[in-house]
Amino acid sequence: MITQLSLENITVAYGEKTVLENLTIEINQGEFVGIIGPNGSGKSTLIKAITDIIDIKNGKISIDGKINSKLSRKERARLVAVVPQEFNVDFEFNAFDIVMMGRNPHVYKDNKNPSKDYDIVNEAMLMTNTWHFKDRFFNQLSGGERQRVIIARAIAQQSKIILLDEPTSHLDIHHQLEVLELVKMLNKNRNVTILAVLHDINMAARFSDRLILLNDKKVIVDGTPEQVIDEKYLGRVYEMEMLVRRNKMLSTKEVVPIRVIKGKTELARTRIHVICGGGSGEQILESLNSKGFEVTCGVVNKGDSDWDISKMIGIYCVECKPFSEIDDKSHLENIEMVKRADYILVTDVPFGLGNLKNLEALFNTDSPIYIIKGQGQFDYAEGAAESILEKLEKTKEIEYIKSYKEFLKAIGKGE
Amino acid sequence: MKKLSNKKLAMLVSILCFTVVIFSTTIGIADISFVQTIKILLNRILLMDIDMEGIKPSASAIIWLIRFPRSLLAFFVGGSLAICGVSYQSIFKNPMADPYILGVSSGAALGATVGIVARLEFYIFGLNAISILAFIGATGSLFLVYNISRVGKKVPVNTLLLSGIAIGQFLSAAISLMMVFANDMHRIIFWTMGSFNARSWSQLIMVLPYALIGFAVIFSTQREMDIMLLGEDTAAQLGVDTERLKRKILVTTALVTAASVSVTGIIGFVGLIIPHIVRIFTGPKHIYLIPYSFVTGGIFMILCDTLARSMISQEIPVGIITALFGGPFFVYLLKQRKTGGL
Repeated sequence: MITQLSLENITVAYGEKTVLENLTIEINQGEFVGIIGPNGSGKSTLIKAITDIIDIKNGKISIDGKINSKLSRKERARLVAVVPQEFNVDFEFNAFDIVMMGRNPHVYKDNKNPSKDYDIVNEAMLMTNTWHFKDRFFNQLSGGERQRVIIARAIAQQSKIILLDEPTSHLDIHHQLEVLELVKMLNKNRNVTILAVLHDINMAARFSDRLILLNDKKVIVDGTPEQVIDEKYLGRVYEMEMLVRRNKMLSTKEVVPIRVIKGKTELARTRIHVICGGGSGEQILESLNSKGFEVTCGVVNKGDSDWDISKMIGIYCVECKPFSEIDDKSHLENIEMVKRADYILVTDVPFGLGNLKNLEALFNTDSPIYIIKGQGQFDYAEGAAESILEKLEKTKEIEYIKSYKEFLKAIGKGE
Repeated sequence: MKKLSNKKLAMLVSILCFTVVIFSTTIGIADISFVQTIKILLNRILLMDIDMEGIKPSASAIIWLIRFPRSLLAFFVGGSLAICGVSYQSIFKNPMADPYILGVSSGAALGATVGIVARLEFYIFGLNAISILAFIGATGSLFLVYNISRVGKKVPVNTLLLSGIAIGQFLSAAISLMMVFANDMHRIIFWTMGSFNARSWSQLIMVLPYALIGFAVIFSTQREMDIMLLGEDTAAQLGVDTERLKRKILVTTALVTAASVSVTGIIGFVGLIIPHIVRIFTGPKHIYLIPYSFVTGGIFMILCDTLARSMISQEIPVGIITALFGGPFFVYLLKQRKTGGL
């Protein structure tokens, strides 16, 4: 792999305030690299440093093997094009004029070839689907159209690298996707190296080959989206609770932001065992966990969505084989969990022959049992489940409730 | 407002330009007819053997030594101020910028005031002491402003504008102070209002090289000036050496403005308004904006000067006319435009 852009130990400061400190990043030819990080982590400054808009205090930047500070503006613009966040023009330039400005670095005093410039602009505008409004004033275009024109300008610039500075932050999701798909296409078809500062972590994870997480002047982690999209990095950097899960449709990891304001932690000693399955426990497990309870669940088949979530948020889950009846080993383990719990919560899960043992396990506790009963059918085991419940009612402390909220109220932790 | 095609506009402007020069040369107290004027000019310029019967030698002298050079001088001064205005408005991205914004006019006025108060009487290449001192004052003040605002290799636009205004105010105060103690207040005030009175070939020869070379230099940056309108950072990312461009424009415009101001005094308004008027018709692209501003500024200045010397028996300073007639016309154009702004 050929290194196309390398930042070695660079430090950038605005006056006394250091924004980037001893930063080292190497980007290879043809890569799509996403830069993520909270506001003020120096993402946009990085782009300004690469394009020599602000000076670096120390360190070295090289582009395509050449030392950045020794390049002229024109030489640099032939190597690097920039797509900014939002772009307004107070003057009445039409879309074509704006794209034609991308040809500026290629104009030489003795090598003028206007028709070649025209052809390149034409091609760039056709690629971005902007040619049909080439004569309209740029400042009268919509946000998405403008951004496509700016990308056309970057294409016309024929640079090897395109830097994008939060190119989608002012766009609706349709246009966000459109812009990133366009950039991805350039990356794939023309082998343009992309370095994109992106606000949206999920978009970044989806389109980038590599992600760099910046925070507090430094690179926190640099790797594949698989490695970087991890609560252990993101939770700390963004200072929030989040759920990291696999988006099965797109086969990428994604972040579900949950909350910023922290839950109480004095609940840590209260153990709650949740009997769930089939997705009935997803929200409950997450909520209990985030409130700081010590949560366990079981028995859940592997691959079940409740099993997924318990793995994601890292709570203990008694598991058994997919689509199978609960085996003896996991049944015994479940009984252990039931015994140790301070409260048992049975979610609105239907019971069939496969998970009947989850109810039987409840004979082993003296703690209160709460059962959420919804509208749907409860017993798919031809009366077996109902009869277990009847027996339980005689010896155990059982309360039927309508919702998870009621459970919280009942244990005195309602919101 | 509908934009005219470029060919039509170019033709219209050239015809207008030619007509206005001849017309203004014809008008005056000494009664010389339109035909006579053309005859005199053809005779003088092309050295054609034309029947000059019925034309007095004095008429020939008035046309050739007074009115025609004065008309041409007005054209080149007007054009110069207009393209300097265009350049400043573009590199500062500020619609209020005019050629005097960096204190060039105050510097020139200070130089001229010193010349008037000290009653200096000397001539270099046909130019009087006042013109020469004004030129020195103008270039000196820009040099000062530039160096005050320079930070390392860079010249931040806002600092430049602010220090220009500060220096301008300071120099104006110095002029006022001198006026308090001088007996020539009247002359100083007249000088600061600008005039083409009694200007002839030697002044034209002084201004012409600055106007022509200045035009060539400014026009050569037209593409970069377009890009500069997108903002300095974007321009830099598109390969424009913004600092070099600013230096080039500042030095060029300072010299061109200084040359104009030193021979005519401070003629306001042209450099501010003409670029805006022309922009309404041509749009913001400098490839059209610069030449059309030059020609329009020139024509406008000739018309104003013609009015200044023929409206009443006493000559009115031309700076008054430019604002008096240009102002309402500009307001009218602004109202006509639906989009507003620039």
